[in-house]
Amino acid sequence: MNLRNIRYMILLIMHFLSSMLSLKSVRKCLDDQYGGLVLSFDKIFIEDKDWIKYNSLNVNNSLKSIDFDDLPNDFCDAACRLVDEFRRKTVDEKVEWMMYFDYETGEVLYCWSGEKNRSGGNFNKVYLMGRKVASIHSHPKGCYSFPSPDNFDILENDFEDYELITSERAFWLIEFKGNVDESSRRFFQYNLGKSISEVMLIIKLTCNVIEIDEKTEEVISNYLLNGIDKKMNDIALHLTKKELI
Amino acid sequence: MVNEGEYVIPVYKCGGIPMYPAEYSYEGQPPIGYTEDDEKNRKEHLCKFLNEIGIVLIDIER
Repeated sequence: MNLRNIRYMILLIMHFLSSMLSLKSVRKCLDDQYGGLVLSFDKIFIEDKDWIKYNSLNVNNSLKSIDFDDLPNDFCDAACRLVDEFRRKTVDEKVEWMMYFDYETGEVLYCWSGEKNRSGGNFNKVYLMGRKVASIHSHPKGCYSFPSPDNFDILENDFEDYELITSERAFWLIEFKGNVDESSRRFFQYNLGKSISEVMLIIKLTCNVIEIDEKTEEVISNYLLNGIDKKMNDIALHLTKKELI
Repeated sequence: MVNEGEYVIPVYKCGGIPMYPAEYSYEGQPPIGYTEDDEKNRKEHLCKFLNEIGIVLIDIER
């Protein structure tokens, strides 16, 4: 165990004790609406209802597996298995699921059950200190696989290196190791949002009804992979898509 | 002792754009400092990409 880990564990203990001193905060941790902390600390788990529910979700074994070679080299095997299982567990859900996990160890740090088109909640950054963090969230059936303009908060999050988006047909990987300021992030999202809206409208007006979804998935995916700027403030933005059907 | 309030932040991910026939239009407001030149650059950039794949972007009155 190195110094960094010792420091991290001491900080964690201090925070845990300070927040658990009152019964109210224990109840809040367990019953909060947005899921919450899943923490492994020498095998002691603080469970909340979303994490318990996630663990009870059925695993869809009919899906094609995610190839570990398609995930970043710095993802450990446990993290790769987590990604594949997350997709299998959430693909048939009507709501979105979201997690933060440590991609060096495969440990889940936060888990949320969301709504049809969004998920998230409040979390404490102290639990991410010293961790290598990736987020993963699911797109329910009936939604396109590609990240929407409302995503890309990874650009502003200094703690988040990767973002994965899973769906029935594909998974997307966004890599951005660093952060930009809020203004730059908002510029990016606004530009992307306007462009995607215009492209989707053109496709609806020019394609047959039965072609619209496939054409939208194809063109917007192409735009995200090949059309947008892949550098912000000298930080490389990588996007990849893997079809799984 | 860690001050919890300094470190608690909201996080949010979007669950995707719904497929047709659901309507989608980006509702975000232009960020502070977004200029006509920024909009012009955005459109030119998009048109260049669409031309390369054979799609013409036309202005549509909504």
